Amino acid sequence: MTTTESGSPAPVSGTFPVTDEEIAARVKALESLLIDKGVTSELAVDKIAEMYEREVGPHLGAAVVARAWTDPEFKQRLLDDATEACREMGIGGMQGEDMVVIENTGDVHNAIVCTLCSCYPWPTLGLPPNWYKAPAYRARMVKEPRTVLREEFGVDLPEQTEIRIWDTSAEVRYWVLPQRPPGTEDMTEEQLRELVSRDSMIGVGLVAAPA
Amino acid sequence: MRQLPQSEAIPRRDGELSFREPWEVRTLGLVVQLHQDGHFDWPEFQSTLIETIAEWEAMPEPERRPWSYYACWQQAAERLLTRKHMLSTDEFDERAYEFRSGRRTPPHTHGGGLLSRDAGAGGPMGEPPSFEHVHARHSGDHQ
Repeated sequence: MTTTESGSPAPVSGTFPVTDEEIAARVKALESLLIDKGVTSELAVDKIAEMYEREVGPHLGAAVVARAWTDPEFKQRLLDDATEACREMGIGGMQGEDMVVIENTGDVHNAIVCTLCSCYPWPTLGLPPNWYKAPAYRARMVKEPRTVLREEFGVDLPEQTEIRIWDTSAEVRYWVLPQRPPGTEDMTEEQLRELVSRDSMIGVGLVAAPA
Repeated sequence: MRQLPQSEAIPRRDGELSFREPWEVRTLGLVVQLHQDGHFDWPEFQSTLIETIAEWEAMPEPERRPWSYYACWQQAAERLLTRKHMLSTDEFDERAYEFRSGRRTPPHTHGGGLLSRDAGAGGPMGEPPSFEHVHARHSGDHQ
């Protein structure tokens, strides 16, 4: 342990800061030091924070889904190369450089999880919800997906439906093309977008037709 | 062997806000910006994040702080930047102490009170923004 020349208490290095206050101070320190070194600016960070808070979100993925439901050729392109197909709609960017969309059918239900951290397709779904990042989801979705879907998310699938869990923790960012619900045949693409929830594109929800 | 919560309930109820605290927003913004500027590849940050998450999971439950996803990001960012010799642990400690002790006040930053609502519950949606326009505007390349 050392003390600085100014006599401040010896800082503790290499241990996890525990309280919000400690962590907040370290984040301020990180940003402040990087600004001093000319590596970043407040403005640059502000812009990114705003983008991921306000602009990038699951409404983008919902638009892709609605188009896939109404345009079979686009749907095929989406399944063949999701990154390219999304780019057609001006959707893409960080954490979406290598996206793969998996389709839910009557026989197969897909869901995504990142077992090691929280990898998630930001350009189409925005930032992941807290529960997706939590250790419990990451562990249990792999071990007992049918139970998790039923008990935690209210998704009760028929026993004969195969459940496939896709681990997004490598380079590929998977997300789900949910099934189009019956009773929506007369809806426009714009109307269909409003039905598609974030949870259905993670695979922990189903899309319901409006009552 | 990591001790993962094999039967824990999944925290849905408090699960909808993306950010609890302004420092979480700042952490995300800093890491993303540093990556976009080429200071590290994403797999580098990701593997460091996986380390910090695994370390938290390996700690005995009574001794570890409550789960905080962005605290793992903050630690991973510090660790990665010190490993790459962009910053040193001493600098971090000293500067953090200055903020905590009030010797240094932070500049006004965007992110105070800016807690994200969940925009994806299937509510009314307008036209999706053109992502390229969004990107261009924020990168400042096109005026």
